[in-house]
Amino acid sequence: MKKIFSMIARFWGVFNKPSKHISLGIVTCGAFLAGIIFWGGFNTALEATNTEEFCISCHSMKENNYQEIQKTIHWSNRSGVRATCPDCHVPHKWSDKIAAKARASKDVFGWLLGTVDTKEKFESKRLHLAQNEWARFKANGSLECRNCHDYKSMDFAKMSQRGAIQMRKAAERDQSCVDCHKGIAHELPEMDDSANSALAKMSQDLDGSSYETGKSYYSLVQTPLYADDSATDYLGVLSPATQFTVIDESNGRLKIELVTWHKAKGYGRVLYFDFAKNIVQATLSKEASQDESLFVRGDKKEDDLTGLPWEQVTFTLWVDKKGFEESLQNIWDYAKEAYQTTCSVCHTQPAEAHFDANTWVGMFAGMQGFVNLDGDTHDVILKYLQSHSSDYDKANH
Amino acid sequence: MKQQISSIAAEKKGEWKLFIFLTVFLFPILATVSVFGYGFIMWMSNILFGLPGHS
Repeated sequence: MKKIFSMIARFWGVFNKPSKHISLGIVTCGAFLAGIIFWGGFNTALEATNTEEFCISCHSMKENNYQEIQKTIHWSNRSGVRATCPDCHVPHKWSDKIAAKARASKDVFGWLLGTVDTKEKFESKRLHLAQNEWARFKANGSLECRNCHDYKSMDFAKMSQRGAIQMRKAAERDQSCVDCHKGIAHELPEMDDSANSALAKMSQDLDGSSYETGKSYYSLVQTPLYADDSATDYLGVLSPATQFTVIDESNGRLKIELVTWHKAKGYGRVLYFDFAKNIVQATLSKEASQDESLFVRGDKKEDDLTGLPWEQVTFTLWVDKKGFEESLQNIWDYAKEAYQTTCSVCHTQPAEAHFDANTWVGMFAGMQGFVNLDGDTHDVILKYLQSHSSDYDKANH
Repeated sequence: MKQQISSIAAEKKGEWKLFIFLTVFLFPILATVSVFGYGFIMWMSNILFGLPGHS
């Protein structure tokens, strides 16, 4: 110990004074050369961690992502231009590259602790890993894609018709590639609806609420309907954002009253919000829609546009006592945001009151193929649009 | 005279030893550590202030 202290003291003595015996030229030249050697070595080592061989030296990468990319166009194509791991996953800008290397220290821990060293463990983390990368691409506008792909260099005439239409729009907005092209290189994670659906989460948060008899509530998700509190007879599905009144409670289930209209032709299985309005409140089985013990008939009216007879029917049904919303506005707030984010990716979205309620059905159906909505969000956005359509929002028409 | 020469030789040796230590060990290690320290700071700032945008 003492020896080390005395050595440090001696070194400090020499360090802190001008060089006595080594010339300035030698010191500076030697330091310069050492710097070059160091920086060269440092960068070589750093770039070695930016190669495909290094990335797939981890079993989890080799077995999963490296296998998946081999089925895609980024691996093999007509022109033979291929992407390797760092081309997309390591930022090219030096400062961001170094930040990525620091962030990657977490992966070293993962490797040491075997966090994703089996297929099952990897699959359980796939969504999390994917979301990290999606966040990076979203923030920098898919900068790494643009290392090779440039909107200005795209020949739209060479694309498929559908492709050219979409790509021209994307080029106009200089859109982030990964907004649409998720899963281009590796398998998409399984989007678990129950974990992902915001409406299911909202409903889960309200689980365990108490419901007052005679008060109205709104469904958040597609809800099964039963004939009684034993839930042995399944009658159909209650759509999200449907209003019902609680009449009774028993055996962990609620007895509800649904005021609806149906078409008096055929089975009348679909229950609507209002006369001549194609806003779905619930859909029932053939038997249930004909079971007089379940409903009470009201007014009858004929729709001039279609010549169809409509009938008001008030149903009494049972649902599981789950999370239901007291405030319809909470559901509309969610729907509005979902509408704005989902439906403005490729074009400016139309104002809600631009169409009437029945027209929205067709418009919405035509767009479904371009987006990836879970069933509940799909239903709620449509209902939101219909409820704020020109039929109901006269001011903004 | 001989004392002076041997102590000069010792000093010279000491200087060279220090020179090698600095250029081969200390400054390279310090440089590496500061580069990764810089990366670490960038990483934390990304978490606090968001990921880098479209440049």
